Parts: sequence; C-alpha cells; structure tokens
Amino acid sequence: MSRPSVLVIDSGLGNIGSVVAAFQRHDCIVKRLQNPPTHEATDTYSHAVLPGVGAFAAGMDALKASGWEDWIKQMWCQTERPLLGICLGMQLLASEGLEGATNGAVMGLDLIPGRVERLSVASDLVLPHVGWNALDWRSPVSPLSQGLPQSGDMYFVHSYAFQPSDQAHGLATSDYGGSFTAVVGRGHCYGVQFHPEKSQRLGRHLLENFLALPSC
Amino acid sequence: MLKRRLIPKLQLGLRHSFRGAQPVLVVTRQFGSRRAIGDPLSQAKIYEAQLVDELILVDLERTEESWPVLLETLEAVAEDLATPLAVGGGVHSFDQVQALLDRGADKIVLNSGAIEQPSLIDRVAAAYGAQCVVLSLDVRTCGRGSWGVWTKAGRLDARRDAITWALEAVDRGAGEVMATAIERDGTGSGLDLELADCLAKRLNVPLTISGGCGLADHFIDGYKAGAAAVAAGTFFSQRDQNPMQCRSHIYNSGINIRSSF
Repeated sequence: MSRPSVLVIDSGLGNIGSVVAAFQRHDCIVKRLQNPPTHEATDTYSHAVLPGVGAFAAGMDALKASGWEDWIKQMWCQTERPLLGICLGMQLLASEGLEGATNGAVMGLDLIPGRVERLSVASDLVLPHVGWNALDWRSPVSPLSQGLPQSGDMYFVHSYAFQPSDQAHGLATSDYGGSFTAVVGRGHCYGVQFHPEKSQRLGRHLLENFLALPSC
Repeated sequence: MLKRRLIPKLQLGLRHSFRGAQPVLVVTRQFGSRRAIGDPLSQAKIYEAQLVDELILVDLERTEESWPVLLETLEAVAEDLATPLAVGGGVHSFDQVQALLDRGADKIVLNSGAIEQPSLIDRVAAAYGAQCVVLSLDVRTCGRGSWGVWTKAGRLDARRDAITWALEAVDRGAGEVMATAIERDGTGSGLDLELADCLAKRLNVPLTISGGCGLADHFIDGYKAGAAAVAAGTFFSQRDQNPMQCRSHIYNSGINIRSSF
C-alpha cells in the first residue's frame, strides 16, 4: 500500500497546527487546505481530517462559508474514504447541535444521526471537562481501537457531547458525572471527542489506526 | 473518571551566545535567584516520555528580546510533542494570544496582562473559549486566610485580594486558575494548602496549585486540598526526582491520576 495522503481541513477553527504536526510524525503525506480541492485534486487524498475547537453554530457557519460543507457531503463522502472529526469536528458530524444556536438547534453535517448537547453534570463538577479521562470501547471492537487498551486515558477539552440516535454509532464512551459518547463511527466516518494529537502515545496509536483504515 | 494532573513548569530565561539570544531552562527561588538547568526542547521531550499530563511554558524575561525566543521555542515544542501546552509570560495583548495559539499553544496563561486590562480575559474567552484562558495568580500571604496578588514576576504589589480577583477572572471567562505561592517557590517546603483549599472551595473551574513542592507527598497534599492539578519546576529538576516516580507515589496513595503504564 502506498503512503496515506492526509487532507487536514482548515476552516479557521482553532489549533489546526497541532493536528498537522501530529500527522507529520506518522508515515504519511499531510496537506492543510483552507479551501476545498477540485474533484481531480480530491482524488489524490486517501484520508480526510476535520479538526476544530469552538462552538457548534460558529463551526457550521465556517464550514458553509468556505464551501467545506458541500465538499464533505457531496464530494468526499462519495469517495467512501475515511473521514475523522476531532473535538468540534466530531460534533459537527451530527444532525444538529445546540451550542451557539440562537433558537432551537443548528443543523450539522448530518453524517451520523444524533444531537450535540451540553454535558449534564452535577453542580460539584466543573465545566468544561478538561483533562485526561478513560476511554471505554464497546464491543465489537472497531478498527479504530485495534491494539488500544480498555480504559486508556485520552486528553479531553469540551462542554458539549454527541448523543447518537442509534447506539450502534457510539463506539466508545467516557465518564464525567455520567457516561457520554467519546467516539462515533458510521461507515467511513469517524469522530473522536478527545484530542488524539494531544494524547501522547495512545493518541498516536489511534491516529495510526485511522491511517491504516482502507481507502479505495 | 477525570484524572488529577501533574504538570512540570518550563521556565524560560535567555542566554546570549554568538548566535544571539538562546532560550535556557531555569528554576527560581522565591521568584528571585535563577539557576539554569538545561535546554527547554530536550527537557520537554523527556517530560513527555515520562508521561506528564500537561506542560506549562512560561517566559520569565517578558521582554521584547525574549518574545520571539518564546515563540520559536513554543513552535519547536509543539511540533515535536503530543502533550497539552499552556503558555504565557508577558502576554498583554490579543495579538500576542493569537501568535501563541498559531504556534501550537492550547491554553494561554494570563497574569499581569489580565490585572492591567481585565477585559483581555473576556476577549480571549469569547474568541477561543473559556478552556483557552488560564488565570495565573502569584500571591503572598497577608494574614491568615488572606492573600495578595503580585504582578511583574512577583515584584509589584497589585493591591488586589487573590480570591476576589480569581472570582472576577472566572466570571469574565477564565476556564482555569493557577495559583503560585511566591514565598514557597523553589523552597521545597510544601504547597500552601490553605490557599488551595480556599480557592478550590470558591471556584467552579479547575485549580492548579504550585510553589513549594519538595516531596512527592506534597503533590498528594495539594490534590487532597482540592486542586485538580499540581505544577512544579524546581522539584523535577532535582536529579533524584522524576515525574514517573512521583506519579507512582501519588497513584499508590489512592489519588485518581493516570497510571504510567
């Protein structure tokens, strides 16, 4: 198999540099793009990554304005190649989200049915949920979890969480005053609530698993 | 469950050579006398290999000359490491915040800059989220149960009550608070547990406590007093101490911390 070629979507949503740097430590080609590539150029990439931090509504606005929403839904998903959403990027895969919405909910990319809501925690717990927390994979084992320990710690920073409509799309959970979905997956689309690019050895392993996903 | 954090502080000084100003890692005593202990990037890599939970990178010089050195050091560290980075020292403007985030900082540490211009906290939090802003408080005790804030690397009395200022900063959008007891810095005499307890009880954001760690037991005391994280500089520069041993000791005491395997 040839080296994976990773497209990192840069729609201006925060610390993209760390994600690019993380992939550069793997055996792959990494390209950070601010605008969606053409159909021909799209064909040169084997994997796409949607990073981001910030509010759901602002994130969707940015994806729409830069043309990435159409590219992801109409071009990338047709290729049936792997897509990985990280943090806000994971949440944007949902049907809708509540963060930053002026009334009701804001439509998401709708690649994995579900809703992004504020974590409901008891008053003695603080939000955002910041720090290292255990990741519990559900069986059957996902290709993304190959070789990762059960309850390995990943680095999280968030206040909202993805609630998949279909439990089968929730691949792993973590616990902060109650269980929440930390990894989602449906077909070739995956999303992780934590930051693999900041999660040292285990995060590196997860990115390696993502790069090993078959790309046609 | 969310783990407590163990955080080494990387404090930058400058060394002048024929290549110009170079960064040098230093430790301090009561914010005064400095001792050079090595190269920031290689030490950062060692800390990552030793599974630290986060790193705090602070420019102690806080001058026009040191600013570009801080940016370069940060860029090199962020390129090589997959560890969360909180960065600060002399941050007074939104432009500086953006420059640090561009180069790989995950969180910005605001201290004197926030005292001088509190609205900087609101602005950074509105643009990048509360999780991006760490309010750093350098304090000296002024009577029992009371602490005063000092700025300019601990040299200037800000004439502000530490608890009141921390609460205001959180109200404005700071997502974390880091409190350092100046008189304990570098002494190894133990953390100010009363300060940790008092802040942890009043704040609804995670607290990092630092200044005074000389034994692994001091970290445990800090967590028990309510701190989400304990940070130390001098402690980890001692030849017989490293974050892995310290972590095992904390783990074995029953504190919920990442285990080092």
